[in-house]
Amino acid sequence: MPQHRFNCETVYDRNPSRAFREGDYEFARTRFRRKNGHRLERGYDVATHFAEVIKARRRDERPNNSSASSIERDFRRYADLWWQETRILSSIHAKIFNPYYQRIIGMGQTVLPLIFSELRDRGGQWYWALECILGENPAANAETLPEAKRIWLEYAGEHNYL
Amino acid sequence: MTEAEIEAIFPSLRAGFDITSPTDEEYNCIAWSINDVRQWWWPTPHGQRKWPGKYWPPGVDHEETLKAFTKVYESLGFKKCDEREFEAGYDKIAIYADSIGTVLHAARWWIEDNGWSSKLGEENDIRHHSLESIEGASYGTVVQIMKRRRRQRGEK
Repeated sequence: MPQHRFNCETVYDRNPSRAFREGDYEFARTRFRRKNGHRLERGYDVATHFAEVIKARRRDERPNNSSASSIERDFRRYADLWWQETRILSSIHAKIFNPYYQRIIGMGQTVLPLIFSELRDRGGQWYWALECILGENPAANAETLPEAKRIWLEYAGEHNYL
Repeated sequence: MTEAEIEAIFPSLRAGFDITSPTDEEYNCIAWSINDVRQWWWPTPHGQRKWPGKYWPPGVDHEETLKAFTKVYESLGFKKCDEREFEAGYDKIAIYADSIGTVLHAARWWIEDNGWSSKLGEENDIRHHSLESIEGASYGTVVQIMKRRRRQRGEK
């Protein structure tokens, strides 16, 4: 039987991505068995350890993989849910402290173009979110809602958000 | 909103209601109850901070409480009453609140409405045949009725 030299970088499967897809546990167990050429007494424990490491690495990498489309998808979902839950309410508190509205604020400057397009196309109480994210309020002296909307949309145009 | 969307939120309206206006985000239920379609009447977070298009009478606490809303209507000539039915010569309003007393909505009965009438947040005005038909998770229940004698033409 040929002797193999193994190290941490050794690839055991012709299609490593497929091995990952088939499950963290199976992948880890496969690696461990082959390294030693036979089943180890503590194989399951070690495999579980590998699985946890791989799972943690995937979890850590997830935010870095957020693409523009996934951000927009999340924004649309939160905006729709916020709209559905608050559109028949009068309470300003209920609108701006709604969990989905708060999530959108938490998404930060990335979603400013999406908020401005939502304000332009569907309206809504977006002024608080805009002020929270931007830290300024160009419509601070506006008397009416149409005036505030106009000023904010002009601001968006001047700063290339729309 | 479509009729189906409104009925999904208020199932009791299936018994009958009419949409009487397009959507409008400039005014709300309180404004509609006093016939002001230019402003959004509601207490604002952080009290005196300026909110464009929002109005709350000076001297009234910025709280979503029955006490604060009653004070607003009293300042406009309304008085508390118990009768829900239409009375000739009077305008009526009904205040809705949740189980802990947070005010959520108001409806009105003016003679020209021919029934109770509500503005649904940023959405449409509707005419509904009973106060109970919009009670539920969204608006809570009716906690106060108030009425104001309607001034006759030429009366000061």
